Amino acid sequence: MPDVILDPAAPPPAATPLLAKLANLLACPGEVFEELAAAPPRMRNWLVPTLLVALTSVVLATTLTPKGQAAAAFGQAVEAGKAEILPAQWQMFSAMTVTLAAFAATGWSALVLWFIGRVFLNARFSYWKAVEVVGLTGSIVVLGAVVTALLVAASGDAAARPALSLFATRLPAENPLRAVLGGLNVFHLWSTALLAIGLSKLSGVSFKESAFWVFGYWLVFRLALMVLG
Amino acid sequence: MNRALLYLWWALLRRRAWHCCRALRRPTTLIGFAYVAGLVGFLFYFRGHEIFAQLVRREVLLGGALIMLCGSVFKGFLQRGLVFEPPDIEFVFTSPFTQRQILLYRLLPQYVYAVIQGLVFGALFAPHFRQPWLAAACMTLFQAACFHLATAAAVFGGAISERLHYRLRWMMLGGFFLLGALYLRAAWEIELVPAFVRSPLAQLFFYPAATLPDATASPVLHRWILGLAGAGGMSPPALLRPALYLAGFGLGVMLSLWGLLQFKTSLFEPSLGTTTRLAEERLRVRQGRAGSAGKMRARSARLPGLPLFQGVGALVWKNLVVARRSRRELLVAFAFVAVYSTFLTALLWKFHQLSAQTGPVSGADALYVKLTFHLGVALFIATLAFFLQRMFPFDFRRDGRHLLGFRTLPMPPLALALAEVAVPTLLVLASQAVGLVALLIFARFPWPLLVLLLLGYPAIALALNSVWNLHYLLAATRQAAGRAQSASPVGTLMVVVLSFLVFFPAAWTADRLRHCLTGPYGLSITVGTALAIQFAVDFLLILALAELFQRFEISREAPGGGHG
Repeated sequence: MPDVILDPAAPPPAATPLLAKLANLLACPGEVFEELAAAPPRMRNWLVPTLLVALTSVVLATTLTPKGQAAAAFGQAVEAGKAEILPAQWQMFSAMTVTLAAFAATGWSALVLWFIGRVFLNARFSYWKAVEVVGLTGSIVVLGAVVTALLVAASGDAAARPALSLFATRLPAENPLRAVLGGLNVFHLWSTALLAIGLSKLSGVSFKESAFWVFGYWLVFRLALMVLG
Repeated sequence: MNRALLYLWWALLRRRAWHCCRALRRPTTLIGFAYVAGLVGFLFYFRGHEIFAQLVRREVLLGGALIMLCGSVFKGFLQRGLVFEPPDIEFVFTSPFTQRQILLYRLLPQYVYAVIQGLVFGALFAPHFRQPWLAAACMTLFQAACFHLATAAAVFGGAISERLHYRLRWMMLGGFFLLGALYLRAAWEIELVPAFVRSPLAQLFFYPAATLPDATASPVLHRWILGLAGAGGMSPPALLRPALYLAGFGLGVMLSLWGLLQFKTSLFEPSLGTTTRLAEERLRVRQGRAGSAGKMRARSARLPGLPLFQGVGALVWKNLVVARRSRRELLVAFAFVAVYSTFLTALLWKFHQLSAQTGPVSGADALYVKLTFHLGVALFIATLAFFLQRMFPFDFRRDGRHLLGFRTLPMPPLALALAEVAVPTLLVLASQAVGLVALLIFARFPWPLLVLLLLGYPAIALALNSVWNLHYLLAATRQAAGRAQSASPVGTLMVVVLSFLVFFPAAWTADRLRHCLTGPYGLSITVGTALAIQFAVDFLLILALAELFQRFEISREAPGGGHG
């Protein structure tokens, strides 16, 4: 089973600052993940990007959710016997949900990545390394959120996404084909590719092999669920 | 195809067929053959039945084809190298044959199998096809293509590293799983995907390939947060379609064969390794030593000074040490007992909970129902012995190899037989005790009945272990005489039947007495009498075991030694 081998005699490589890591991730992700695999786990590597994801997602949520939808959700809360909840509190609940979801999703995706490496690729690496890979990949999610918000503002359509569904706006929202086309989002594919690179660096297998599993789960399995469901 | 190899294959086929015919002289083989022939005859007789029409529906055929295809590829890949007969390795590999010729030689028996399979398929399903010969031919060709793929996968699997093989194996399984799910959805409309996966919230499982605000817009999440706070006809040219089918399948065969023959990887080394490994495993099974040939290291255990473990008791001690070292068997048995006992305890708890809800029990009928229920649970615990007996192989199963050594020991055969069955019996009783404790917590039996009940478990465990040990001892004597053979299904079936029949005298007597004896002690007397009969049967079985061991003569059992 391959392990990341560190030569104790060699001087520790100079750690790139986090901001540089996030920027480099867009240009040369392989190098970033290589450095990540060799360095000891650092909490800020995943904490800061995940907080950024949460922040941009909260902003995006206010852009995406039309006023009518927010009112409907608030109405549901009132119907559910939570009449004392004020609209401001509701916004807070919503932001809290998105923030929690960002952290929970990071943890889950890291678990899936670690599991793939451990079981299917027969490689050993720390779970926290997987968390760092997923956390850093969050920079693409941030970029995606910004682009999505701009796209929505430009098109005036809250359902507009940087995906193939952009070319199928005439299809009803419930149409499974539209859901599948929506799944082929540019930023989703980009972040999945980064995960595959990260996994290949952590587990020491070729990109093709790690891409089989990462794209298999994050793309094929997801699309299959849409089609089969 | 080389003519010499063709001749070799033909000669071997003839010899194998002749051996099969000769083997029919043995009653057990004949019974097995008759069973298979009878089954095929039965199916052929009812081939016009509606159920056969269902089996050749498009969806079923497609599923079967998928299983054959995926199964062939996976089986071949797992095999890692081709399996030859050991003499083939010595003769064929060292002779001046090309790799292609050897591959075709290896495929020849499989082609014969494919043809037979196609014929049986055609014969059984002929009434449900418009052109049965076409179906049979397609089946044959498809099976041949599957064999090609399996061979290709085996050759490929043998040429790659162990680590890559491991990873590719998982990839294939993942692909097959997805293919299976798509097939079930498309052909049978079976949805393996649970409903919650369709909600936007499930998109969170695919982060970062998900837009968080879309996923969190799910009403379920909001509520949760608030809670915290057809069939077509034939095409006009009737002959064109069969021709197309044949051409398609034929093309598949040709393509797969071409692909297989393109392999430049060396066959010899992986095949040699696989063949040797399988031959060793076969030999171990034949000798009754199932399992891998891994090395086992264990510390030596000192014989305790207790008088119980002196003399023939040393055998009991040895088997106890073996049991302690057999962690896998004990863990499996423990897991089984845990599940079984938990189920029974839950049943008892539920029964008493319901009884408590209906109020205090009064009246003879209610007490009788309660007693019957508890006796039923006690019977369930007793049946545990049937399963557990096979899980504790610390008797003649393992000691069969030491039979010759045992014959030289200065021990009475009866004591030796008892010592052999002691450990599995004790382990079975210990396992049953778990369930029994739970039963005694909930149930209140009259004390005579309780004593008889507690005595009943050893009687049952002893009977079962004695019956199976008779079988193991017979097998061990054959092995010692050099006639090692794995147990035939018919032989095993006979032992299973016998393990039920040994309880017949006691059960029959109990049934008779149940009608004759009434009153407060009727049940106790009935159970007591049955128990006494069962212990007598157990004693007879142990005697038979001892007698069999006593009569075991190596010289008479030796091959060619006359009547054995």
